[in-house]
Amino acid sequence: MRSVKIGFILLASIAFLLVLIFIGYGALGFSPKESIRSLGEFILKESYNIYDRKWWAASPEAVNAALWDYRGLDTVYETTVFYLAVIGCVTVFRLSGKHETKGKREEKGYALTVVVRTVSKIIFAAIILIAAVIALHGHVTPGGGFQAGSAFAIAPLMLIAAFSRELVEKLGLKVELSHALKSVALLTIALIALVPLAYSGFILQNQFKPWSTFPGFPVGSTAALISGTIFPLNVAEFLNVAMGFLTIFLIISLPEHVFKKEIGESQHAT
Amino acid sequence: MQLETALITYLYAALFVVFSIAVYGVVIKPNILKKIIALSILGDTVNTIIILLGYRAIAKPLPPILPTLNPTKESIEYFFKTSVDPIPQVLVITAIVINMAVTALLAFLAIQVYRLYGTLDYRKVLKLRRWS
Repeated sequence: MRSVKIGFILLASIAFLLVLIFIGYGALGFSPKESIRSLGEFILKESYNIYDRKWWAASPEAVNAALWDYRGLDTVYETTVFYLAVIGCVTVFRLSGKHETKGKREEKGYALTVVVRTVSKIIFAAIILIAAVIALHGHVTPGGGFQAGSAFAIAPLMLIAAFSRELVEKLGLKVELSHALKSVALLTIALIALVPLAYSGFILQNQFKPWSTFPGFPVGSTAALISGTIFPLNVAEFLNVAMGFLTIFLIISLPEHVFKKEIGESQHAT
Repeated sequence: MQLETALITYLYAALFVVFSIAVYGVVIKPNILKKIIALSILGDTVNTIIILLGYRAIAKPLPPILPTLNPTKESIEYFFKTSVDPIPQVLVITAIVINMAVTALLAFLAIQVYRLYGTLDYRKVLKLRRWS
C-alpha cells in the first residue's frame, strides 16, 4: 500500500509540473480570452433574434434555449438517465410488501427545539415559492427545470430532519405520488418531443423552420412569453427532478429495523 | 510571463491540485464512503474547469441572458459581443444532475453494503464475501 501511495504522489507531481508548463505556454488556447467559440456566439446571437427568425428559439435565456432547443435530445436522454438512477435506488432498497411501514407508528425520536421547527416551517414555504419561480421563469431569467428541482429537493429533506418522515407523508408527499408524478413528467417530455412529427416536423422542434412544414409552438406575447416548448419542458423537468429527489429522501429515511428484518428473513429463506 | 497569464496558470494549478487529491481519494482510500466523497469532489472540480473555459476576459462580461424582451439590433450585437460562453454552462448543468444521480445511487449501494457486511472497508468486504 505504501509503495502505491508513493508512486501515486510521484506521478501526480510529474503530471502537475507538465500541466503547469503547458498552461504557462498557452496550451489551453481558448482559455479566458476576449472572444468565445463560434458555436457559443451563434447561440447567443440567434436564441432571441427577433429580426431574423430562421434559427431562433424564442427564449432570451441562451442556456435554456440551448438545453431544450439546440441540444434538446441530449437533455431528454439525461432526464431519462436521472429517472433510471432513481429507479435504481428504489430497486436497491426494495421491500417485499409486508414490511411496509403503513399504519405503523414510528418510534419517537429526539424532537428538535421549537426554534428549529418554527424556522423550518417558514423556510419550507419560502423554498417551495422559490422553486416555483425558478421553474416558471426559467425561460426568461436564470434558472430552469433542473435548478428548480434541486432547490425543491431541500424542502422535504429539511422537514424530515426537523419533524419526522411521518409528517412529510401526511402532507401528501408519498412515494407512490412521487413515482406517479415523475412518470407523468417524463411522458409529457416525450409527448412534447413527438408532437412535431404529426405535422411532418422534427423531433423536439420548437419554432418554425423554412425546411419543414411544422408551424411551431406558440411563442406568446412580450407580456407573457411562453417560448414554445421551453416553458412546458422546464415545468416537466422540474417535476421529474423534484419528485426523483423526494423519492430518494423518503426511501433513505425509512427506519433501519425495517430493512434489518427484510434482510434477516431473506437469509433464513435461502 | 505576464501577470494575467500567471494568475490564470495559478488558478488551473490550484484546480489540478484539488483534482489530484480527489483522484488520490478514489484510488487509495479503502473506505467506500470516502471514495464517494472524493468522486463528488472530482466531478465538481471538472465542472469548475469547464466553466472557467467559457469565461470571457473582458472588463465587464455579462451572463448569457438577454436583459430585454424587445431588443434592438444593436442590443443583440452588444449582447453576443460581451456575454460569456453559454455552451460550458449547458454542459455543466447536465453534468451536475448526472453527478447527483450517480452519487445518490452510490450512496444507496454503500448503505446496502454496510447492512449486509457490517463494514465499508472494501478489503474487509472482500474477505467476508461468501463464494456460493
